[in-house]
Formats: sequence, C-alpha cells, structure tokens
Amino acid sequence: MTTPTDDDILNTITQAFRDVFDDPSFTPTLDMSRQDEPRWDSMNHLNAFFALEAQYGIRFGVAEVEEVQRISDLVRLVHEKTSVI
Amino acid sequence: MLFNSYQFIFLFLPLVLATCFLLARHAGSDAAQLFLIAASIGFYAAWNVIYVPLLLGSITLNYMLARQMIKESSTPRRHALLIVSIAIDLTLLGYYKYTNYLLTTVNSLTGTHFEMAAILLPLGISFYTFQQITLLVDINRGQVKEFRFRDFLLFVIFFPHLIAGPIVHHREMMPQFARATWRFNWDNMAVGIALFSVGLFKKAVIADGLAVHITPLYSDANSGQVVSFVSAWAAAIGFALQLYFDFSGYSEMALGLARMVGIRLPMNFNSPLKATSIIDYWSRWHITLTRFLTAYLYTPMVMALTRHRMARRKKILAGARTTPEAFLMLVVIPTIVTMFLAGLWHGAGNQYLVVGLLYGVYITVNHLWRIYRPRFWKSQVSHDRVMGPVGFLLTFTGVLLTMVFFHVTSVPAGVNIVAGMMGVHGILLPQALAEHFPTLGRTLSSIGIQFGGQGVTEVLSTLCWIAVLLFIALGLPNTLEIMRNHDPAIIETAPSKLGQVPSIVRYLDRALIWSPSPRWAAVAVMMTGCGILALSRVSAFLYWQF
Repeated sequence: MTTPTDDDILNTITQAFRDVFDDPSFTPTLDMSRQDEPRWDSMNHLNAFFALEAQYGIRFGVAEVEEVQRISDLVRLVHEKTSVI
Repeated sequence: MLFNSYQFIFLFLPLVLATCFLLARHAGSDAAQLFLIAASIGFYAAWNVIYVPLLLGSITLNYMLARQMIKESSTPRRHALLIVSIAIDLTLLGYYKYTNYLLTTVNSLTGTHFEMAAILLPLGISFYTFQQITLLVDINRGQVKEFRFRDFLLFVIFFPHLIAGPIVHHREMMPQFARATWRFNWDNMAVGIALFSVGLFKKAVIADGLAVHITPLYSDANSGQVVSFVSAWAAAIGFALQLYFDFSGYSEMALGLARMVGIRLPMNFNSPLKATSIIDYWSRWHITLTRFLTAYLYTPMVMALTRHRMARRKKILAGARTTPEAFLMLVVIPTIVTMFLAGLWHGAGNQYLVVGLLYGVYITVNHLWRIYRPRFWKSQVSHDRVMGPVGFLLTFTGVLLTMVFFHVTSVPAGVNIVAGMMGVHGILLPQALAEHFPTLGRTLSSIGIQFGGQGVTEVLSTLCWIAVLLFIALGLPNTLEIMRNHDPAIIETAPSKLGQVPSIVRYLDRALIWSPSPRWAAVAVMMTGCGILALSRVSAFLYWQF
C-alpha cells in the first residue's frame, strides 16, 4: 500500500462530503472551516469521518474528531493515519 | 458578590487589579497568580463562605484523581479512575441540585410525604463540575500529560468565569496561565474596560430595565391568571430578549474582567437571535455549553452507536438514503438524550425538561430536513434563498416557546402563556384605547377583542422596549464583531463569518468598529455611567441560579 498524497486525500474528503450533503457540486477548499459551511454540523461532521474510515480502513478517536475544525486539519489527520512508515 | 454591584466595581475590582499588577511587577508572576487564586476564593466566599470548603474539596479531590490517572499506565485502571471521579462529581452535583426535585416528583407520583431537605445550591457548581470533567476525560483520552496544581486551581476558580461561565476548556486556559505575566498593559485594559462596560450596560440598563415590564407578566402566569394574546407575545419575546442581554452581558463582563489581567476567555454568544435554523442557533447561543455537550456527550454517544451498528452490519446514516431505523437510532435518540440532559442541567424542574425536549425535537426535525430535503429540493442555492428568511422565522418562534418554559415556575404556567400566544385566551387591549377611539373600539369589540387590563402607557412602553431591543439584537453587529480587530475573545467562529454581518443596517457595521480612541472611551464612560446609575435595582444574573 502506498501513502496517499494530500490531493488524493482532499479528493476523497470532497467525495465523502458530497455524499453526506447529497450535493455533487460541493467543493471544499483546504482553509474551509466548520463555521463556513452551514451543513457541516456535528452530525455531518461525524458522517464524514465514518466515510473516511470506510474508505481508508482507518479508525478515528473521539478526541481526533473533536480537534478537526478545518478541511486542512482533516487532510493532515488522514495523512498521519495512512502514512506508510 | 455580583459583577453589577457597587462593592465589586468600586472595591473588589480596583483592589484586586492594583494588587495583582503590583505583585506581578515587584514579586513576579507566580506571586500574582497565587494572589488571583486567593482573590477568587474571596470572591466566592463573599457569597457564602460555607461552600468554600466544598469548592476547594472538589478541586483537590479532582486534582488527586487526575494526577493518579496521568501516572496510571493500565488503561482499564485509568478508565476505572475516570468513572469513579465522574461519579463523585455528578453525585455531588446531583445531591445539591436535584434532591428536592426528586423528592417532589416521588411525592407527587406515589402520594408519599417526604420532607424537603434544606439544601442551598452552591453557586457555580454546574459550571465548575463540567470544567473538571473535561480535564478528566481528556486525560483519559491521552490529551493531557502534565499540568501544575496552581494552573488547575485557577482554571476552575478564576473569578471572571467561576460562577456562570463561559465554560472554559483546559486546552485554552492552561497555556495562557503558564505564560501570563499578569502585568498592567494598556491594550488589555482598554479592551477589558470596553467589554466590561458594554456587558454592564446590557445587564444593568437593558436586561434589568426590560425585566421591570416582563416579570409581572410571568407573575400573572405563575399565579394562574390567564394571559391574553398581546401579553403572552410580549412575555415570550420580552424574556427571550431579557435573557439574551442578561447572559451575553454577563459573558462580556467576564471576558472584560479576564482581559484586564491579560487572559482571553472563549466567546459565548454570537447574535443567536439572528440564527436561520435551530442547529445554527445552538452554534451561536451559550457556545461553550454547546461545545461541551457536543464533545463530551453527543459525539461519543453517536460514535459508539454507529460503531455498534457497523459491527452488526446494520445500516448507518447515508445522506438522503438514510433508513428510518438508522435515523431513529443515530439521530433521534442521541439528539433527544443530549438536549434532555441539557434541559436538566439548567435546573431541577419539569419545565426545564420541557425546554430540553422541545429543543431535542426541534433539532431532530432540523436534521430530518437536512438529510431528506435533497431528495425533493435539489438546488442548494434556491433552498438557501427561500429557507433563509423562513428558517429565521421558524427558529425565532421555536426559541420563543422554549424561552417561555425557561422562565415559568411550572409547566402549566408555561402552557398558559403558550395558549395565550395562540389566541386561546382572547385578545385584550387597554381600556383607554376604546375610550379615546370609540368607533375603533366598537369595531374591535364586534370581532371579539376585549378591553381592560393594563393601561396604554404600560403596554406601549413594553412594546417600545421590545421593538428597540429587537432592532439591536437582529439589526446591529454584536460586541465581539464590533471589537473584532482587537481579539476580544477566543473565537472559534471563522473570522470571515464574523465579518459578514447579516445586518439590516449594513453601513452601521462599517461605522461600528471599535478602536482604543477617545470616541470609544467616551462610549465606555457613558455605558459604565448608565450601568452604575442603574445599579440601584440590583438583581442576580439569570444564569447564576444554574
């Protein structure tokens, strides 16, 4: 397994949010925060994490879920979890 | 001692600030910090010295358990320590807050006659219990490895937030305490005084001024008198405004006091009455409570339930394809449970359970709409254009209903006001109106409107208060937006959102940008002056009772 690039991760995150919001045109930027997108509420926040867990076969803890405030935090977190050492 | 009292403003605050700054300059930051701890204990003792040992005992016990948890390498034993410490915290909170409520409920359900215990609720116990729990849970999650006792002590006991929040998080406070110099700084003092003066004005002039008109309406409802249409709406809108100005004023005073010694507290309000959905409302109202409930109750609950279902290969949430069963298990139950407990946290009484349940239902409906709406209304743009104003009206009305139950002393009294709002008790207008305008009076009488009750001046002055305050709450930028260039609080909301103020009068947003200038100093002096003059009718902050 190779380590996914940040672009790969952003694409997967974008798809996860599109599924969660049911909006195929949704295109998040790296600096988008939870407050910028009204649909990014606490429920959809969790749904995006579960979608990423299924996609990458990784698992997030409650503390990690709570720390993520921006798309860039999510990319960094997934990057850390999927890095092949 | 209240923030809005002569003793606090003219004695406690100047003495504490002067001593703190002198100690910081001549004896170092450690001495200043220890003094602030002592001053905070003194502040608490001024209310009731008997509960100081309870506060200090709770802090010491939690500190010892927290240290033990950090040292503990075995995960099961650390979990066990966490459970024991949270159980102790919640038992103490439960004893002081809910004993009499439970006895009353048992008596009314079973016909028993248990006597009420003589228990006085220790001030701030709901807040300091939550703050300590956050630290314990985060130690268990491995997020906290080390902290100093004096930082922990000040984290719980710091007088600006001790009594009614904002509910601070150790992550945002401990680093500030570790690097604080506690020295006098002109910028901090200017921002602190500005925040305090606005808070004092909102509390003493606006909230207490409005209370004079609103409290009698609730007294009528509580005593069983039927509340007619106009009075019921005035009671609902009036109290929503009173609580907003009272609690956000208190929070701004707390922000200002902390800032005077160089500490930033988290933002607690972001114009909640402008919200366009109930989920939006809870991201703007009592923000520090929302984030506590989300991080320590809702998120862990939903994650556990979702993983449980995934392990059994059951369906989880899947956008508009979510099954009704998954919606029930993963949205309805966690939301209702969270808001039910939020209601209970606010107070021991059935009316608070109604508040919690109403919010739970509102949020569930909001989620239902968000999940399934894309099935039949695909365009996000047209949805936002239409549902912006509609969502605002629905949210505002929904919030008004909960506010009524928040302020009454019993559920029937709340039902009385809500029935009045729905016109069940008819419409009653001042008698003088019919006397001065006989033709209008006859016309209105013919369609069932009655005359009597309060005088025209009384009704008009209440309605004027409400109109002006609605304009301020809905049309103007809030304090933290006005002061946004000077970092008035720890703000999790994106700066872009704070800048995009949905003001009715947009140009005022541009004109109202605070700076440390003579103009704004004059505003602070005027607001403090009015606030101090209004102190003769001192009343407790509404949130102190929780």
